[in-house]
Amino acid sequence: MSRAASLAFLLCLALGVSVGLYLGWVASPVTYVDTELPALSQAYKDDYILMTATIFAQDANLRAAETRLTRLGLGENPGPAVAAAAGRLIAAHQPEADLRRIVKLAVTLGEITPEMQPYLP
Amino acid sequence: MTRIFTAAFFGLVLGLAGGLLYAWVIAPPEPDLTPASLRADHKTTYIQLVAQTFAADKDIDRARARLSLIGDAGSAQAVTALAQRTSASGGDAATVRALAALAAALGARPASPTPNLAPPPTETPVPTVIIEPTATLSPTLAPSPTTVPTLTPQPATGFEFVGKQLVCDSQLTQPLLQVVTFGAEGEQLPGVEVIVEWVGGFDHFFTGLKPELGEGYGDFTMTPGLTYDLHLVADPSAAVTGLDVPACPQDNNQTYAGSWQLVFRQP
Repeated sequence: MSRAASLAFLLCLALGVSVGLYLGWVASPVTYVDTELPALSQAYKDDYILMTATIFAQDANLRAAETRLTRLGLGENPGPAVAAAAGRLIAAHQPEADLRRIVKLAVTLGEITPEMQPYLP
Repeated sequence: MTRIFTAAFFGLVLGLAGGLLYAWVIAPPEPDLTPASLRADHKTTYIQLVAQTFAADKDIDRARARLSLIGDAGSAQAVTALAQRTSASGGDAATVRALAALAAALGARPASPTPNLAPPPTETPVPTVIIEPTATLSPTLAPSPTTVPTLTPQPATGFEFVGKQLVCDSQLTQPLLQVVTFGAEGEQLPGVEVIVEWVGGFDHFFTGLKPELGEGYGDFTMTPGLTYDLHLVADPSAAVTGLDVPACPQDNNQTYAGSWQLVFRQP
């Protein structure tokens, strides 16, 4: 291959890679369908946990709450994940009523962290 | 020259393939997966969770915002349909009530003019239940002038049976037990569970699963020849017994199967 042909190959290779990355990351990125609950982004997982905590605050049915959390892929010990979600919601200055509910669920699951103290039941 | 073009072409194709492979397979962008991306059964779980949360916190704006995350599957009509499916499949009664209440709060109504159920009577024992027919809705109900009002003693709490009304509408394809429930303020109440019993069987249904007919409306299809007893789960004393398929007169001196409309109200 002549030097000119090699140069043309390399230039067009670089151009092709650039166009491919643009198409794959920007113009037509991968879309996800039919996903599982555990695949949700963290913000939506936190909201799912908050909804579970809101229901638990009313019915005090821990088994039902654990079942809901299991669907989110939190395993048999969802306490740390609930505590972590509570920490994120506290840091985001969510409404106090929400914080009290999620802290109550975290505490019921055996998790207490220093930032939860103002919202303990 | 041809060799240069050939090299350029192969370079471009190879680069494009490599770039796409990297962007789509090897290192796709970090996904921001919303509830809209969930599988259908997980969307159902999500809607049920939103309904149960709404039952707990009564925050309809928040419920609406959460449902908007799953697109059309979270519309009021979809929630109503889910409530109906859950009820029909013998799902958890509390979940059905929550879904029905959420659908009603979302205002699940068709865009066309809708039937309107008047508030329950307060002074007279004769229920004045009027369902206005529409061009798009079937069945449409036209109350017969033949009314059979009955009253039961009012319970201190729960519901009271206000009265029953014969509904003669030849457009109804099946005889129905129609129940309409009202709150103390005259508002229609969705999510009220109704038990229907007959010799050899029983069934249940909820008000609010056909919000286009009223948020407090629910019905049950009667079988000719059977006699039904009906009561509300929330207040078993709110009961009506001995209901069978009534006969409605036709012009040619014949009859057809009519329906009963039963009105209950919180005192």
